[in-house]
Amino acid sequence: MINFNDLKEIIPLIIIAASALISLLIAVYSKKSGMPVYVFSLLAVLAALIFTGLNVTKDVIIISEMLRINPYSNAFCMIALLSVFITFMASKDYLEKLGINFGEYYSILLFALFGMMTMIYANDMLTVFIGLETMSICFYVLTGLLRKRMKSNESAMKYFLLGAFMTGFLLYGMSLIYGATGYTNITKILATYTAIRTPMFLIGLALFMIGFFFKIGIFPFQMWIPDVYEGAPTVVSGMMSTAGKVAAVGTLIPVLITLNLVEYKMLFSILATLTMLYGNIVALSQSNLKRLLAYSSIASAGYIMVGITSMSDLSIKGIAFYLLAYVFMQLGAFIVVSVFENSTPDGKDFRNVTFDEYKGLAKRSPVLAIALTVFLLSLAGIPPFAGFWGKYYIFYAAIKSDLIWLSVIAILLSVISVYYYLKVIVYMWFKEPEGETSGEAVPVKALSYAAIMVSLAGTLLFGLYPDLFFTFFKFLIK
Amino acid sequence: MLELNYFLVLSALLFSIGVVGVLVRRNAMIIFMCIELMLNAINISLVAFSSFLGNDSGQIFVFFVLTVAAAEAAVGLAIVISLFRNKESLDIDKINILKW
Repeated sequence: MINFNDLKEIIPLIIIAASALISLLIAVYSKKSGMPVYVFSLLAVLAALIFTGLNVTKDVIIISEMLRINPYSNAFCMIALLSVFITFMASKDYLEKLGINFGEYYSILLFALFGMMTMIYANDMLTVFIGLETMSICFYVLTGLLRKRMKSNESAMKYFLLGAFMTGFLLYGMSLIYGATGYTNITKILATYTAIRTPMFLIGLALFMIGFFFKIGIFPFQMWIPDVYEGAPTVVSGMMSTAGKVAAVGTLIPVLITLNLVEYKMLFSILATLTMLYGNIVALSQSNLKRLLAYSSIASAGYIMVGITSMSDLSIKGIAFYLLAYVFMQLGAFIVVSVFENSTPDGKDFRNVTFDEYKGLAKRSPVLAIALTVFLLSLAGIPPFAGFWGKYYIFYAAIKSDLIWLSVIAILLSVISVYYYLKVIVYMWFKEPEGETSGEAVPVKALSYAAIMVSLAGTLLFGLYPDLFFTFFKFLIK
Repeated sequence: MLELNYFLVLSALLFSIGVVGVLVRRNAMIIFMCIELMLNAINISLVAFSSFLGNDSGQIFVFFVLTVAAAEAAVGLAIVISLFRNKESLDIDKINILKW
């Protein structure tokens, strides 16, 4: 039976789902200009963000125990909403330049957002599956949006085949868990878990986690990330690497924390170490900024995995903060790349993404150079930017739960990461510009400019006042 | 009445055939069909569990898996077509401009 009182608890979900459908209609009736659908979808995401923010302390299980609304899931939803909001702000100029500013883009991105929110709120494996697939299918489409370009096609194909393949494993895991416990409801499964630790259940759980590790990008399921992020439209790569990760982490963590798999701590630590090693070491040899950011996203998945390994309230707090900081800095960096990429005439493939083309950017466009420098320093974890505090809280939680060796490795590897981030900064500030467009300033449209400024403000604000986040989500402090 | 294990072994075998197919075959369409085979193997196990546990949720799950597989097929075929238009080949060994 549907209880209509439940509907008022999921107003943000309804707003996003309805606006995804309405934006399709708006796109049909305003073919000439992309403006109406753009403004509408921005407002819709903003409205959902405000509604979630106002009801952040709610703690209920609704719709036949299918959804669980609590401060924790609300926090992760807000981070995902924020990420999509900033992406929307930057999308219009970028897409117009590439000639793909279709209304469908906004609609598909809203559907992906709906999937992410469903997934984070999910309290049933069925809801997790539907949310995850809604998100993934929309991501496949968004990756292949530039359908005349080989790279975009190729990355969409790779993402689709691997994503669907891993969905198979996730689903098989769900089926085995269902067989072992007799429930699809996550609360009930967790309640029976202490009673049954049958091999069937453990295999199911392992397959379930493999599916999620693939989405987050944990070693050895990280191989798709660089290829997909390089080929996708740049703003979409930024969105996938932030919002997609927030959704997958936000779904997996409550399950893992409740299961409290202490006996597998070693396995988790090894996965975290390998992920950080792979991300940071391979990033050293990159010369394409989009790929560099993709490898840095793998490294970040490793830091998040360190937080997951410590499995404490403190580490949830750390992960939530890190993801918030990550949205600002990673998305900001991708947006700067997208703006710079747009400054050349549209060719057959992505232009202006290698380090050589970043030579002397500081002379051509100081604002872009300063913004990118801040984002990269923040990603490297240098104070006083938000990324530093994110890493600080995660490593602090790891030390508190006796994972000192893991924190030492993580800190050493994030020192290595400073090298490749600084390399880009040196190219921008201390080398002379080259090539035919060397003297010209990089044109920045007002909306992209606003998106960069929001990310910059977030990186600085949460870097200087990290307490702001915790005052807002008081529940996270125990 | 047959035991549950027969159904589980059948589903595990079909799933493995699907996995091996994805890893061995080189044509994108065939790989896609192998993925569908994996999903249907899972459906068999869900229905078997549901029937032996006397619990409906597994069968309801199957409806959603079928729906999602259909949506995935639509998007997947669209991607295959746009790739074929540019490349005129579906051999995944030839899809290799993105590396390292």
